[in-house]
Amino acid sequence: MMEEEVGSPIPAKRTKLSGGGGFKIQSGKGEDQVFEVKQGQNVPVLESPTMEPMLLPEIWAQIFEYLPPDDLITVINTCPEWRKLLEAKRKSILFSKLLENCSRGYLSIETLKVCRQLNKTCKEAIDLANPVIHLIIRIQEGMARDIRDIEANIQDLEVRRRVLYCMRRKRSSLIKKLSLIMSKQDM
Amino acid sequence: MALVRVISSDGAAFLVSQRLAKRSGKLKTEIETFRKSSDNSEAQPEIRIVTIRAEILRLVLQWLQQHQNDPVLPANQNEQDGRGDAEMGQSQWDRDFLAPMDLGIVMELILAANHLEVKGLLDITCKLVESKITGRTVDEIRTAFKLKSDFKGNEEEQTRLENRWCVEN
Repeated sequence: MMEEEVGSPIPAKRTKLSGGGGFKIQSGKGEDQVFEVKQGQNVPVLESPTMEPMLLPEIWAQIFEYLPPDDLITVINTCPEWRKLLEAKRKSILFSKLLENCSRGYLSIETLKVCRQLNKTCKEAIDLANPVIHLIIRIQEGMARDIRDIEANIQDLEVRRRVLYCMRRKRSSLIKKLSLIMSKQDM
Repeated sequence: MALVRVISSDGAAFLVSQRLAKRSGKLKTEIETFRKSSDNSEAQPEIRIVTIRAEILRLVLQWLQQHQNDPVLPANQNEQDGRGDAEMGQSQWDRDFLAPMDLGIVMELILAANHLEVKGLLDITCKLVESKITGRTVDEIRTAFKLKSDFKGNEEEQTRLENRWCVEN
């Protein structure tokens, strides 16, 4: 039977928080344990980036506006002060990163389609993580372009109809195959 | 017992047995790299995880400790199987573990599990977020995750048209 006691984590020196208590898990025979190292045990601590240069929080907030999601995640993990500045945006920053890293295999095609409509960052993240979706879209774009060319250059309606039929049939077969690949990935 | 010191981005250090740490693919690789580069076989490895803060690292280690006797799921396991494991392998402990968490924390936990290559934790956390997204409309997801649309002009309409083709038979 496990006995668990979880205290507040040992704070980094730069946060100037008092106490600590550490994180302690006592477990039964044969169970591995996790201990948080006590303060003053020669643990290297990162310097707070808020110390230099000295900028007002609102200035930092303005700078963060220009950062891409990857760098914003680094900022969230850099220090408590910066993390607090980005608290309101934390979910949206993490969301696009999740779509990029973890959407494959966990979200259905239907859900991915909905997420592509959320905003540009989400759309790019999904297309990056799911190249098949991107490929289908490229085929569709090429098909639309070809249809425009055929309609512009082939005057005979019957010939145009036959050419478009052949082209659609060929592309549809490819799109069906790609959709099948996506469905298998998603099951 | 051989130990490894795992340090979070905000400087908190955790002493973990190497056996437990090696259940994370990333920590396993780091420990092996340390062993190869170190002359002293008795030296204690120290691994700094610069992308994960203490609160999240503590949760990952807590989950690893609880699941230390589970079979290790390979990180490159077929997603098809992974989803099944997530559904079948979620214990009452896992549900209690995730229940009090804010969605933001769960999302940070997913990125941490992904970075540390802890497949089981990644499965259950992704499944939880998936349940918050699936079946919702675009506007509902925007509200839940505080997302703003930055599409200009007819870009949103264009995306909707693209989607129509994605799985058309």
